[in-house]
Amino acid sequence: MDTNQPALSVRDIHKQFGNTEVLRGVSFEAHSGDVVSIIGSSGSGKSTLLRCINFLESPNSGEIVVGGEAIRTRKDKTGSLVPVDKAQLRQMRARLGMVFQNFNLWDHRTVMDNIIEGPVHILKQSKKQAKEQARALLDKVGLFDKEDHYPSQLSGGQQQRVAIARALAMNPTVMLFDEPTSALDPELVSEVITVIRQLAEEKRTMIMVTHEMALAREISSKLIFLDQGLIHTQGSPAEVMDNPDSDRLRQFLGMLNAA
Amino acid sequence: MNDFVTNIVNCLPDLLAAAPLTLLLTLVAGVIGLVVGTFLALARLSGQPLLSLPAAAFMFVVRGTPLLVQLYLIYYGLGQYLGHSWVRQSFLWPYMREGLTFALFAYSMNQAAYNAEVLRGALQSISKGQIEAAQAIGMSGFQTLWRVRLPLAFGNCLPVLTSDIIILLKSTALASTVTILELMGTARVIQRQSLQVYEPLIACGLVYFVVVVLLTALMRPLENRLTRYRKG
Repeated sequence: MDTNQPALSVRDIHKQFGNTEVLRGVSFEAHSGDVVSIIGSSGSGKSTLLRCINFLESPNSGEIVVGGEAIRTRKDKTGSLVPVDKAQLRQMRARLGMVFQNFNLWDHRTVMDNIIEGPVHILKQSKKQAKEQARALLDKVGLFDKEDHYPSQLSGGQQQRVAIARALAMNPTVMLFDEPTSALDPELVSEVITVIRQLAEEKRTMIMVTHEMALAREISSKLIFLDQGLIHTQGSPAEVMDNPDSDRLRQFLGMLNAA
Repeated sequence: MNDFVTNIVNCLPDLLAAAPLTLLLTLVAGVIGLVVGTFLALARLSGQPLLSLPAAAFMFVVRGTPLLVQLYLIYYGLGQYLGHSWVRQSFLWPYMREGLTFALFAYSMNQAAYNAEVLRGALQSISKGQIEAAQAIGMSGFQTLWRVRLPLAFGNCLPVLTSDIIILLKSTALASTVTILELMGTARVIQRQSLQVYEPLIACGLVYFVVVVLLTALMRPLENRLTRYRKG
């Protein structure tokens, strides 16, 4: 892979639900080691954008390129892009580690089984190897003693840290975080943020939709302000947050400060 | 009074000898019903009209008509029809002539329709997020079904499925009407031979009760094991 090749290119993504255009042509790139945070008020399309990257939502047009390889698509009769080759889409998804707002751990599997599911059944690693790696990841997220627990026995913050370990176990090219702390009780937010901060320090490539402005400012190499389905402003956190260049952005940042 | 109890006890050996047939009906129809019911539920939810409409129609008709009517229709109707067709010449005919084959068929289809309805609800109640997590990690549709959707669905509805097995067990008594000498059929034979009305029935009820209690006791640990991921 060309080292100048972006880890992820999002090119001119359009998405509409019914007659509502949620995304109206969004493009950005993330190079290896970049942390791109996407901010914006609710309804601005930021979660939809993230979900279009791994095709949990089908965009209506545009292109997603992971590590130089484009997800091959065609238009179906409803006007959505669908993968030409489902096996390719699965391979691409395996390279995009997704962390959800609601954790979405598999209830019927222990912490260990949640983490080794992908490595064993998608990447075809040996169980032994996958378990060793899983233990190292659990150690990293501070849950070394929880491998035999079921998700229902863990707090929200612990579940989210397991979910991060599950995504990391796939050794993904890019990590996608969809508001990873929004569903957590306030006192549990910091334990998850600590893990995310650590990943940023290790130069993991991450795309994060978030409302945690302090975190976004601290770890992001690029901040994208999404408004009404378009990138309104992008730049370094300091550029975007300290010198808001429009009323819309000032209003958004002001609302956050007031809250 | 003493005679009464003695008469009941005297019925027990024949009834106990018939109990395995009742269990056979229950277990075979239970297993086939579960497998067919799973496919029916998936067809029903497939979003493909060619699959979902026939599945829905089947479930609607089977659940909307009495089991006894189905049993008669299959035994007298289908049995008569096949007896006059090419099937008569096939090597399967000796088996198909048996009431047992038709009864197994009727009970399996009935159980399949009920299980399908239960599973349909259970499959629909799975959180979308857990399915998305499976897709996002790169699972195929089949992997998502086999490794995430079905285990979660069965976990959700296991108590209902086990109680449906108990209902099935008791409804096998109707098989006596199509010449099958399971528990109830045997009790009827004893009634005729001994000219006792109540004793064989009471003995028969007792055996059913004991079998139900045993079956429930066997299912409980299984239920607990398969749903141990729940809190509590």
